[in-house]
Amino acid sequence: MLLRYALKRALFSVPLLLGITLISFLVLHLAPGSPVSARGSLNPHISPESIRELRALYGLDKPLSTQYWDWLKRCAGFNFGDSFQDRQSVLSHILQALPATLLLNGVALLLVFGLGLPLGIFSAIRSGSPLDRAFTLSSFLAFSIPAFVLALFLQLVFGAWLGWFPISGFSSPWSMGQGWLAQAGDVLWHLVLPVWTTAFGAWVTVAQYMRNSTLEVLSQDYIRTAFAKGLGARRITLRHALPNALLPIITLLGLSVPGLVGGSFIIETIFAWPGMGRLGYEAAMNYDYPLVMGVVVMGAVLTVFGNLLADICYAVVDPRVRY
Amino acid sequence: MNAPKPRALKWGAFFLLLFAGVALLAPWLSPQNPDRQSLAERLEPPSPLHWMGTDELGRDVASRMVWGARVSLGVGTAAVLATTLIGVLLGALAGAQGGWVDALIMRAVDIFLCVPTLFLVLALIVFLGPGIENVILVIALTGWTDIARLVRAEILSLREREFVLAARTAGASPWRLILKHLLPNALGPVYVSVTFGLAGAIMMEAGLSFLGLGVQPPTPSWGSLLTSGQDYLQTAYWLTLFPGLAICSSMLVIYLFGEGLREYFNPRAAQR
Amino acid sequence: METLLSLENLHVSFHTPQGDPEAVRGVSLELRAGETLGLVGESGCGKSLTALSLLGLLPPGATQTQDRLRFLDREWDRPTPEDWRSLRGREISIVFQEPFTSLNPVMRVGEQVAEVFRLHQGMARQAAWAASVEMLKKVGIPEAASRARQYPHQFSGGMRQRTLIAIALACKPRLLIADEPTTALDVTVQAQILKLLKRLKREMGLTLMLISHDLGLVAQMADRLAVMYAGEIVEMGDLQAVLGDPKHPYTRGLLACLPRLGAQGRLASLEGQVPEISYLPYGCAFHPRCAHAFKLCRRRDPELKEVEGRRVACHLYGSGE
Repeated sequence: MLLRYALKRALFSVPLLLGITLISFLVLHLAPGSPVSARGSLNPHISPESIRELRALYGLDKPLSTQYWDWLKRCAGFNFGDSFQDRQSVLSHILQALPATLLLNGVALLLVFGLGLPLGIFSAIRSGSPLDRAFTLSSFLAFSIPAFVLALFLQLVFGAWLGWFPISGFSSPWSMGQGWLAQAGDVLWHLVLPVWTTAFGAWVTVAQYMRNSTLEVLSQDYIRTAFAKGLGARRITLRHALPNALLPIITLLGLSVPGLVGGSFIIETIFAWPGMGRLGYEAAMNYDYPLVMGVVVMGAVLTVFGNLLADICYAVVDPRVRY
Repeated sequence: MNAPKPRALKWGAFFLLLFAGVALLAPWLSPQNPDRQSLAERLEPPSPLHWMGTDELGRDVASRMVWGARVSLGVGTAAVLATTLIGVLLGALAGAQGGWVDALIMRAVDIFLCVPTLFLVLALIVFLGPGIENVILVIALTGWTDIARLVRAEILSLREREFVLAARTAGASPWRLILKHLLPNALGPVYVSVTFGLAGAIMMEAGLSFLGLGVQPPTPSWGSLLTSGQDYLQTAYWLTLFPGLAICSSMLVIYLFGEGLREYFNPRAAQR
Repeated sequence: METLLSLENLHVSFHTPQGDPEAVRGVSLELRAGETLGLVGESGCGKSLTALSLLGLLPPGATQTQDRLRFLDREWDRPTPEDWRSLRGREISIVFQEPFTSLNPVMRVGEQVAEVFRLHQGMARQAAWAASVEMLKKVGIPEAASRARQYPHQFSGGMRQRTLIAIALACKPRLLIADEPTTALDVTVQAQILKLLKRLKREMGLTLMLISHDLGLVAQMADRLAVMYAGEIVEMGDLQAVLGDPKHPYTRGLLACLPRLGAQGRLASLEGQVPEISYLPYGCAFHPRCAHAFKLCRRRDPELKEVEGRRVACHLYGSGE
């Protein structure tokens, strides 16, 4: 039953994936500017012949439909081509950048849900209390701080003024050749500010979401039934309200999967974090089509995969979807 | 039931007008010429003469902030107006016409929703090239879907109401119907959405300009001011602090105003 | 007959920024062990709030006060949450009118019944499950053993109401409050549920408080009748006496609205609407809709008085002092 449901959902996501890649492909190739135009990183005094040669080399002289078809065929074999810049394979670029992003966003995600969910629940149960009101007010303030401004402020205060944490980068030069414990500690130390930046906005969103979801559930008739049974408030919250209130959170978790692996290019750029976001950003700045497309496909696959995962989890947890 | 007093709306509007006033009166409020360089006065901390300090070229930060307000708020406003125009037009068309027009527009919306906005913005701006006009264009092109969906939904629910049916039976033409009957009634939630859209647009412009993809030097905008802030983070805090605070406080004011509007149009939902 | 429960001078008010209007205004009632009391009135008259007040289950924003609540030999003027919990599910149970939303959608049906056994009788998991299946059988759920493993959305409306009755009666309470138990159901299912309630009442020696807007339905079940209007009881007495010779103009109006088989002509209906609780008319709340209203009715709210073997709140019957 569950397996069939999962397969069906997976099948439905194939056209979506194709659509996303097609759109990205078109945006990239139809926009003015190209890797061989003067605005690229190449020599501006390049001759027309060499431009033609280069275009042929990259396959840019073929019709768009052929280019897309070729690219799609190669993708099917997990071959995303080579980067225009250094001729390394796109896959190896991605594999190099992936761990840093996974680390940053994994830790952030743990913090976001680990702290956000309890706060949201608490805020809802004590709805209208000083704690709840303080939360509502502070979330209002938090939404007003864009991530990149927060990043700069954190760098300013904790990096430049207090000197507690490094301003940017993944590790310090001194940690090279040290024991693995020292290296890990050094990375963690570098992780603090980017994680804080990444988690901050999402944390408030998750807490608010959980708060509304819990409030919604607490007003349901079956909660009244539970009270009428004579159950205590604690058991009603844990056994009746929470399982229902957590259902929509699954969708939220699914939505965070792409961010988990895709990364945010602004945050990674500011903190010079060697992850996927920065990779994609730099690839786009250099008109590195294969690399950009590789990152996009990765992102699209993950978005779709995250949604799929959320749907399946939903089916596991919510009996109404399963049958 | 009395409507709750829209305190948020009043204060939001007050501060919003304050910001707009600064932007509009920049030529008079600006203490000095924002582009005047003075290498002798590079990176000076805040003082009575330069009360937000000077930047790496010796330009007065306070003056650049005031002129930057003009650019940041101006670009944000223009972008959100364009967004709204596209969104309302397409949403109204989809909702009022139905049929294949509706199907076509809604499929387009779906596709836009699938591609991450930030990536789309980045790709478009990289390939269109930076600049004020392109920033506005890109924000408008990527942001219209929310408003379009909202307007369409409002119009669909209004379309079957009595007064619209009455107008239709009276033989009103479809466009007249949209302009005179449907749109005015669908606008409440649109105002709210436009307000939050303004915050999003200002944030987007600031982000792009910060990355050097938006407003080009020497034109000041809050986002581009932050760029030099990051370069001189260790030595010149004022280059980061003041533009950052300006962006945050404008966001806060707009959210306050939006929250007030939401309360005003939908008192019951806001009370929860 | 032994008095099971008595409630004196119940008031329920809602807190709003514009003041605290009262939805229940001084209701007193008594339930005798083994009887069925019917509580009728148009929607919004406060009958459901009265029922919820007996279990301290009012929604947030509503507050109740009473002079006294007595259940058997226990008595409170202001019951604490612990007092309420000692009553709920064990002594007094309630069945709501929303069978479709009153069961937890992500919990197995059997577990929702078993929970009561584990709570009130301290049964172990397996014993509670067995008792739960037994209880579901008792309320007429076919193949109860396998049905217990299902989730609420797999149950029909009637089955869900049976489940809610099973939950309510699991620990053999003395009093069952049924708040519009059949309103949300199809007519054929309504009859089955009423039959079930009758049977269980007989088998378990229950006292029943049946709340409905439908006087016809209550007339089939009740021994005594209480009629509510705008937060007050306006007439209360033995079913036969009240229906045979209604005294209060509102009761008469309700009765005239009942369709009768074979009756000719148009169905009578009460003119006007139940007043909003924030804008109650001065004097008797019913006077704007009353054909017999006179001067006094606009001035003073009548009190419940003994009239020919029942209690009536109407100035038509002796203006007292």
